Amino acid sequence: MSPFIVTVLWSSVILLVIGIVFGVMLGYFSKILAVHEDPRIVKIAELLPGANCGACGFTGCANLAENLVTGKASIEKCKQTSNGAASEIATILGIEIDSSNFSKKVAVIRCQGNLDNATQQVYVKDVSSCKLATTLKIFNKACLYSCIGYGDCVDICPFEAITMDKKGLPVVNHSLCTGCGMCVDICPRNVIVLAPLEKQVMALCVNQKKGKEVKDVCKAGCTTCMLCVKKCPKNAIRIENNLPVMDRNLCDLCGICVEVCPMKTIRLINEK
Amino acid sequence: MEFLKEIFTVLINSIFAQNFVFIRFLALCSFVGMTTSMENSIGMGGAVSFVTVMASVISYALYYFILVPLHLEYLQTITFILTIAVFVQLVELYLKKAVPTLYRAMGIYLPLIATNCMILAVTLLNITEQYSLMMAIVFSIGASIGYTLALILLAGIRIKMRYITIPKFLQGYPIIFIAASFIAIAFLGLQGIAR
Repeated sequence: MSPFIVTVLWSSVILLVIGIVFGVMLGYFSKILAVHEDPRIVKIAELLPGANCGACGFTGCANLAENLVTGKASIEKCKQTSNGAASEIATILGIEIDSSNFSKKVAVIRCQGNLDNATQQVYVKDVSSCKLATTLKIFNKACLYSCIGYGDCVDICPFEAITMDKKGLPVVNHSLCTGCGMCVDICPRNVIVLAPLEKQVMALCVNQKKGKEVKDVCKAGCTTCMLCVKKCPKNAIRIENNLPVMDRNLCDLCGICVEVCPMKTIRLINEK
Repeated sequence: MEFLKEIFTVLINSIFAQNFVFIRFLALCSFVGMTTSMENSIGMGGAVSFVTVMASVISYALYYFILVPLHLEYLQTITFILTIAVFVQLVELYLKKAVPTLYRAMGIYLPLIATNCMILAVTLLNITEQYSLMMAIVFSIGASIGYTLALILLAGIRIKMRYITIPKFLQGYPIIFIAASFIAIAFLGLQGIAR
């Protein structure tokens, strides 16, 4: 045999021996240090979205899975679980769930007070965030319920699903939005809500004042004229805090309220 | 007395004058990645210290009792990496059992200790500097103290940095690198304190 082959063989054999010794050692220690995990935890962790967004209040999907098995958390905590995954998790855990809670949700901006509609009052150059504007109480728009328009929701969105349009209102990209709800929490005016990604009518205004007070500050705000309540053939609309609320179980999407609304506040949203 | 002086010199040199992070620029990945909180950086420092000391002892023994007698010195890199990988696995098993919160917080950086270049550098330098076993242990302890010190220093600065306004173009990693470079410059002033 040539010296080259001998060298290769010799070093391979030595490496193999070292490797086997180490392997046996590791195998022994993995027996000693084995952790007895509930096999359901791994299964559930695989079914969860795996984004580790932390919106459920636990450190990650694996941690939520652990708490699901021990019964300290419910699957509703996870805002991103799909319908199928949620029911599979429920079968693993042996519990019943209401599957209607798990349709995909997206953020909806409930304000139409853009540069055209809202009455502008002052413009302060150095204010750069909605939070700062709220602290200083300096607002561009006269409406005290509207979107402030500095885009804190744009900055916080981890999926870059929110952008500012040219007229100063945030726009949600439905294909990127996961419904994590971070924008809902950051918005100082509570303008953003989470709504199921299904065709539905919604009043895009959160101004709780009535009539002239609203009309003075915005061309698209709800004046609580009650026209939608009167015209709805299914009586699906009621007024809460001077704002129309649609009962989605009764609404058949006829679109009459959208047509009659004199301020064009009620809109058909989440059309695919 | 001469022996004690030598030990002290190697220890101080490896912690300060030849700090593995700030002067030799090794192990920078975990240095930036694991300094998000004090708890994480201390945990990472502990894990890396354990692997460094154990791996340098075992690899020292492997080199002088197996590779040298068999004239296989050229296999040192691969055997040392094997040794390091084994101890990283061991640490992973132990942390999963004993400190699961730290295990989850460390995430991907825990298996990545296997590719932490500081550990390989320590084991290789033990050989090239021709240290005795005693010196090799002292050197590896010094190196791990220096690494942990570097992590704790940067973690402390990063915790403070959360409360200050940073210009937008410096937010995130740029300001961390600037902070790290200032610590490195400070460490440059400790050159030659132990001869």
